[in-house]
Amino acid sequence: MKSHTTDVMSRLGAIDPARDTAIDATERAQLWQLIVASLAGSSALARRRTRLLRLTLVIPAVLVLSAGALGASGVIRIGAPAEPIKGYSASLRGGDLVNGTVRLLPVTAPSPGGGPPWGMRVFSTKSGEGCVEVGRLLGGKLAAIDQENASRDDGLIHAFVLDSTFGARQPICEERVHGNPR
Amino acid sequence: VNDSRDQFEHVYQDCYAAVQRYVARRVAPEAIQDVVSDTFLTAWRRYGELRGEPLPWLLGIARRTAANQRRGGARRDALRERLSSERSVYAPHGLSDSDPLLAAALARLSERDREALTLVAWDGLEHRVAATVMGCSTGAFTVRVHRARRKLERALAGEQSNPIDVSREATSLP
Repeated sequence: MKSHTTDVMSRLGAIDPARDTAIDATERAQLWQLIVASLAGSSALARRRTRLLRLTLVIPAVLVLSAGALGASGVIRIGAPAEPIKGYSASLRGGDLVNGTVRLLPVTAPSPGGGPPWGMRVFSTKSGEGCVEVGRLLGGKLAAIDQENASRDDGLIHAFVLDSTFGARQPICEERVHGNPR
Repeated sequence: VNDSRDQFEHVYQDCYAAVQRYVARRVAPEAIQDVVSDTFLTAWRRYGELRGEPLPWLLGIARRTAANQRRGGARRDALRERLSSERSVYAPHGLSDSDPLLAAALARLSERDREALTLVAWDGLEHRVAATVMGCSTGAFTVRVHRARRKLERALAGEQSNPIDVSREATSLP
């Protein structure tokens, strides 16, 4: 059996489809040049990605710092996160928020009374509703100011909570018929 | 970066022939250069992950790249196969010409069994090195080769009593 097994492997080795394959030195050199060119290209791409990453880190930081500076200068006074509306129950109204479905829409409208512009965000609930929420847009987040029943009538601006509960403003929710509001 | 590139160039020069032959045994002739270049480009991107000998690591990358290439080719050929109503078989370029019975028996094995046998018989790798290519332990590879040999022997015996015409079926492949 041993010799038979060896025979099979030897016989297999004899039909190696690449046994006569010659290595072409020119082809090898050309492929290396191609790889070097690709390496240079990928380095340039990596540099572009690094620059883009820097921008994506720097721009929000500038926005946050600007909001902080505006707050410090008294132009905008920032308070604690907005409290949920008293008596409002997310679980009774539309079910809990589905994490990861909150999307800030790329639309804004100037406020006639001055201050930050208005913006909108959408999200889904676990009971299958799609909801729209309106608020003041500040530093890429929705917020409310005192006279909009955000919290107390303290003259400050209060960011909406974005995590697992609804914000201070009661959202408008409808049963979804076209999938997630994104 | 320059040090890494110099090291990688040494790896390329040392391993190019083995990788090129490995690929030539497993893909159609017109796809060889694409698979070889994709293998080395992937290797460069993942060069920091190299631990130990470069050749089995490179052959492992080449194995996956060749498998992807074959899958892509199979998808493109699906319609052609359905139209011709012929079953495609494993038939590397020129294999069935030299020993049609053994080629047919080899075609009956699973891809993993075939790979285990050919890494030893064609690529001439030791079990320890071939095991790295297949991503398993040396012991597991030795068992796999042993079983694959027995399957090949049985398939060969079956071919001798009931041969199929691999060369005819192979003509349905590009």
